[in-house]
Amino acid sequence: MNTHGLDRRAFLGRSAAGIGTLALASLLNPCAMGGAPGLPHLVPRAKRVIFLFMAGGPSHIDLFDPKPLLNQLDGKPIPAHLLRNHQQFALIRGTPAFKPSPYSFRRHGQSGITLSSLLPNLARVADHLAVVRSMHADSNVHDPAVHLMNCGTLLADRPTLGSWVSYGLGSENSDLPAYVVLTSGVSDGQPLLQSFWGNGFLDSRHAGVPLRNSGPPVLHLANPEGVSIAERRRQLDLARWMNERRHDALGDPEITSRIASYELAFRMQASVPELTDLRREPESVLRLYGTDGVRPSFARNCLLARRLVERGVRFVQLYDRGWDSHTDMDREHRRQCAAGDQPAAALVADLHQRGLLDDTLVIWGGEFGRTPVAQVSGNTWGRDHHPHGFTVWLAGGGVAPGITHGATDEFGYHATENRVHVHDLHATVLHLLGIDHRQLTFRTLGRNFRLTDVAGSVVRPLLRHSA
Amino acid sequence: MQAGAKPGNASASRMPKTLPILASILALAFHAAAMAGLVEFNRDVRPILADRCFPCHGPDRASLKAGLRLDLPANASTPAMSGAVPIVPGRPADSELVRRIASHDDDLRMPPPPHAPLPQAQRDVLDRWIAGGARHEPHWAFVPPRRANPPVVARIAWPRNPIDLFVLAELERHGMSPSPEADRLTLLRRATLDLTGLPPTPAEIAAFANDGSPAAYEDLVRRLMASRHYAERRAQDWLDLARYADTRGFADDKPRDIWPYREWVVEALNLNMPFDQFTIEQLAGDMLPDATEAQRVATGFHRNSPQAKGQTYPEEEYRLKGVVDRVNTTGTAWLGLTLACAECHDHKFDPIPQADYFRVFALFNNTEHSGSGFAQGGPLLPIERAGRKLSAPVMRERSMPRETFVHVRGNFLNPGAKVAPGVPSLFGVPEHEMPRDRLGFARWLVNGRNPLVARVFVNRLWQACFGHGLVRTPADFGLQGESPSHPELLDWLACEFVESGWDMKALHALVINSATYRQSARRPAANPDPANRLLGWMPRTRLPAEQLRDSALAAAGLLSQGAPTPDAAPFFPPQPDGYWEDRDLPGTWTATEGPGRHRRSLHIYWRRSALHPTMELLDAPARTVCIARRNSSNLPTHALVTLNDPIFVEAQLALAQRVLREVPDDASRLDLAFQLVLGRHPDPEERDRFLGFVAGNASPARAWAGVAAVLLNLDEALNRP
Repeated sequence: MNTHGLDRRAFLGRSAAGIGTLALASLLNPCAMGGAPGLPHLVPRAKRVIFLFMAGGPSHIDLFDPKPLLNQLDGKPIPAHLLRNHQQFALIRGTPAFKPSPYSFRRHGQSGITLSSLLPNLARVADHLAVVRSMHADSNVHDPAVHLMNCGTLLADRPTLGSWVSYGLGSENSDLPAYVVLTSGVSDGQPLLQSFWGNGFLDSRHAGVPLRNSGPPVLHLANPEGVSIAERRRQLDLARWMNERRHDALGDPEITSRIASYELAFRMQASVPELTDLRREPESVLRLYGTDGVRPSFARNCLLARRLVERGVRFVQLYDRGWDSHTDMDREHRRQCAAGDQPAAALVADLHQRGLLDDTLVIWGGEFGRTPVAQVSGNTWGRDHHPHGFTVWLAGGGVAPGITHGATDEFGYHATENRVHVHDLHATVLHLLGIDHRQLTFRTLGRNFRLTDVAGSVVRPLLRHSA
Repeated sequence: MQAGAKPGNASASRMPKTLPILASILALAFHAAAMAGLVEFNRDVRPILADRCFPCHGPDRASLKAGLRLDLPANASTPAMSGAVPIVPGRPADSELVRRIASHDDDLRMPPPPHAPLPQAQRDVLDRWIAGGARHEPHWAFVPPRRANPPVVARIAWPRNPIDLFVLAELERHGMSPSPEADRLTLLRRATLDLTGLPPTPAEIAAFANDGSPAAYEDLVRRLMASRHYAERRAQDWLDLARYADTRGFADDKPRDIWPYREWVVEALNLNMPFDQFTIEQLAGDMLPDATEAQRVATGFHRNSPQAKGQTYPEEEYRLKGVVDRVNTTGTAWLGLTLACAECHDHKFDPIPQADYFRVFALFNNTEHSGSGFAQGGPLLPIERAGRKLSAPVMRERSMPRETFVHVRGNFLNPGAKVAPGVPSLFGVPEHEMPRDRLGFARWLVNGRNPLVARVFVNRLWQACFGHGLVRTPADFGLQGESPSHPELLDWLACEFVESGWDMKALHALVINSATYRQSARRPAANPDPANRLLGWMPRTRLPAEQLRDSALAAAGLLSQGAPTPDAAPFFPPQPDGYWEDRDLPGTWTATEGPGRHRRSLHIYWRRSALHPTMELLDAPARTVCIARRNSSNLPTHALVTLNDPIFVEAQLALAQRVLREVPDDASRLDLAFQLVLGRHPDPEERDRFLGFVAGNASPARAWAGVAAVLLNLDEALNRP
C-alpha cells in the first residue's frame, strides 16, 4: 500500500460525491494518475520522450563517426593493445582485420554535424541533433546490452526507462497508457523480449503497452463479433450499477478504481483506433515520413509516435529491428537506412514544425555499435557487436542543438574523450525530464532501487543553455 | 492495489506509514509511545539507523566510513577517528551522533549531502533512545520464534482458535472490534476459491446452504483440502517461487520437459508431504540414499534457473549465473533474506558478509552442468509419462567438488579468497555442525531450529489467505524488511507449524477455520486502520490470472477436469495470431484442439520471453526470477481481456448456452447464472434489472451472452470475497 494510493483514496472519500461521473472516472483513471511524490525535482525541459531504438546495434563508424585511419589500415590485423582489458568479440574468433567504411562523410548544416552518405535526410535536420560519439556499455551480447540501455542493468527483471518515467511523472492523457511501444523492421533472429518494456518491480500500470502491427493495435480492443458499441454500453451500465451497489455494501475503494478501469477501457475502444487511423493525416505528412499510413513500417511508427506524444503519452519507444549486420554490412545497413533515415528525420522536422520539439526529447541509438574490424563471411563482410565506443543522437527536449559530444580513438574502438556511459545517458534523460536520477527511487527488497543503480552523472554539455 | 513497497527517496522511507494525516491507529500508537519516551530499538530505532546510517556505518566493510559501525554497540560507544564518541549511552548531549544529525553545516551534517537530513521526528527518536541508555536488541527475525501463550481477551465469544486470540487482543488494545462473520454463501465462495482456485458449483451451494451441522464449515474446509484441486491451487504459488517455466529463458528461450517437476509439486502437496521433506527432496533429492525417480524429479526446482545458450562469453559465466540464481532463490523462498545483495559486496543492511554469500554459493557449486550440451544446463533424467519418453532436467552432484572463491565485486574473473561451503555466520552454526553439501544444507534449513524458515513459510501462507503477510515484505525478513504486525502470532504459528511435523494442510486449515478469516469484507464505517494492519475485516483479493480464466471456464461448464496425470504436459490455449512473430520469437503457437484446451491454467505453456498474453495482462509473472508476491493491478487492459479475449468470450457464450439449455425460464436462468459466477442468488432488485436487460434484447442467445459478459466482469466475480 503506498502513501500515494492512500492519499488518492482519502481525497476521493472527501470529494467523490461532488464530482460528475466522467470527471470522477478520469480522476480515477489509473493510467492518468500522476507520478511519485516530490516530482519533478527540477524544472523540466522535456515533457515526453520518443526513443528510436535501433535493435541489433547500428554501426557508428559507418554512420556518424568517420575514421580515415581505417583506410590505411584496411586488412591489417587489429593490434593487441586494443583488446586488452576486455573480453573476446561476440562472434569473431581469431585476430580480425580492420575494415574501413565504404561510405563517404560530409558536414551538414550550420553546425557542421558529420554524417555518412547513408543518412541524407537526417543531414537536413543536422542542426537539431546532439551527436554523442563517446557512448560505452557493458556487454557485447544483445539481451544484456538491450537491458542495460533500457533498464540500467544487464538483468532482465528490472523496470525499463519508460516505466521509470511513467512511475515518476505519470501520464498526461486519461484515455491512453503512459508508455507505448511500437515495433518494426526485419527479422534478424533477435527476438524482442517482454522484459524490454517490462515494469520490473514497479506496479504493472507502468509497463509498456505494445501497439500491435496486425489486428487490433491493443490486444482484445475490439468487441466480440455481434456486440455493438450500444450493446457494450448497455452491458457496462448494468455492470456499473452492480459495482456501485457492491461499493456501497463493502466500502472498498478498489471497486471505484475498477469502475474507472472499465470506463477507460471503453474510451480506449474509441481513442486507440482514432489514434492509429492515419488516413486523416494530410498526404503531405504521409509523404514526409514515407508511409502510406497503413502498411506496418518504421515510417508509420514514427508518425504514430508523433500522434502519441501529441496526445500526451509520456514515453514512446520504437524498436526497429534488422541492424545486426554480421555478414552483409553493406546490404543490411543500406536497407535499414533506406527505411529509417527519412522517417527519423521527418519526425524531428515535424515535431519542430509543430512546436513540439522544444519539450519532446528524441533519442536514436542501439544497444551498442559495431566493430571497426570485419567479420568475414564468404564473399561478404559484416561487423560484430561493439560496446566499447559507439554513437547515439538526441534532439529536442532541452538538448543542445547542433553539437557533437565526445570522441572515440582513431580506430573508432574505445570511447576516449568525454566518455558517456549508459548510466550517464539515463541520468541526462531524467534530468531533462526534471528528475534527479539519484532521487527517483523505488523501495523493494529492503533498499531503494533506481534506474542508474549507484552510478551516472548528468552530461552537462548536452544540455541546451538558457532553456 | 499497489505492491507492498513504497515510493520515495531515502528520507521518506520509514515515515509515510506513520504520517499523522493518515490518522492510523498505528501512527497514534507510534507517536504516543515516542512522546512518552518509550522508544523500542527494533521498532523505532533500527529502521532509522538501517536506512539512513548503515550504508556507510554498517556491516559492509567496503563502504565503511571513518571506521564507525553503528550496528555494533561497542564500536559506536568508543571514540571515533575524530576523538568524539558517537553514542554516549544516557547522554545525548555528549553524543557526537546527535550533534551531527542536527548540524546545519554541510561539512558536518549526517547523513551528508546530497542525502536528505533526518526529519525532526527521527532525530527525536534517536535522542530519546540514547537518553534511555542506547540499548540494542538483536533483530527479531534472527532470534528463534518463541511460542507465547495466547493473550487474554475481553470478547471471549468471538475467537474460534488461538489465531483469533492474538488478532482480537490487538484489536481490543486499539479499542476496535472484529467484523461480524460473513454470510454463509460468501464463506463458501471465499473458502472454495482460496482452497481450490475454482468457484463453488450450484450443487455445492445447495449442499452447504442446507447443511445444518454446526461443523458444516469445518467439514467443507476438510473436503476442499482433500481435493486434488487444492494441490493444484497451492502449487501455483509455489511455482512462482520456484520460477517454474517451460522454457529456458534468455533470447534463445528453448522449451524443455521440466513439467514433471511441476506435477511432482502438485502430487507432493496433494499427499500433504511434510514441509521438511518437501524442502529436502527439492533441494537435494538426488543426494538422498537410493534416491527414487520422484526424488530426482523434485530437484527440478533448481533446474528452473534460466539458462542461456552460452556461446559468447567464457561458458563458465553461464553456469555461474545459474548458481547465483539458485542461491538467491533459496534465500528468498526459505530464508526470506536478500542474500543477492551480498553477491558483489558485504550486505549493506543485514549482517551477511560477501564471504558468507559464497559459502552458500559453494553448497550449490558442485552440481554437474554440461550434461549432453552446455545450454541444457545439467543432467537429464529419462522418464516416461503417459507413454511418452521424456528427459526431465534434474540436479546431480559431481564426485569431485569444485573449489569456490569469493568473486571480487561479483566478477568471477577476479577470484578472491577461497571459501568452504557453509551457512551464513548470522545463524551462529558451530563449524563442526556446519552443513558441507546441498543435502546437509537442506536438512539444516528444516531442522526446526532455524529462526527464519518456519516464519517465512507461515507468513506466505498468511499472505495467501489475507492478501498480505503478517510481515508485508515476504521476501525480506532482514533489517530493511517490515516488522510483523502481530509478532507473537507469527511466532506462535511458526512454532505450531514445526511442532505439527511441518504439516502444511493442518496449518492452512487452522487459518481458514479461524474467526479472523471468516469475517465480513465490509469495511467498518469509522475506520481508524485503513490499511487493515489489525485485520478488523476480511480483505478481498483480486483473483490471480489463472483463477480468472479457470473460474470463467468452470462457470461456463467448459473446464476440463479430467484425470490429471496424462494431462500434465503443457497445453496451448488460443493466442492472438502473430503474437510471437511480431516479436521475432522463434516457434509457432499451435493452439491445442478439443477439450484439452480447457484445462486448468496451471498447465498453460509458460514461455519466459513472451508469456501467454492473457496470463501476462492479468499480472502473472514470466517467472524468470523467484517471486514471493505477485503484483495485482487494476487496469483497463485487464478489462479488455475479460470482456473481449476469445478465451473469455467463449466462456461467456458457453455460459449463456448452458443456462438456456439447463433451465426453462428466465428467472431460473438468472438464478443459475448468478450461482455459477457469483456463488449466490440475485436479490429482487438485481432480478428486475437483469430481467429488464434480457427483455431489452431481441435474441435470447444474445441477451444471455450479454448477461454472462456482465456477470463475469463484475468486481464481485473478479475478486475473492
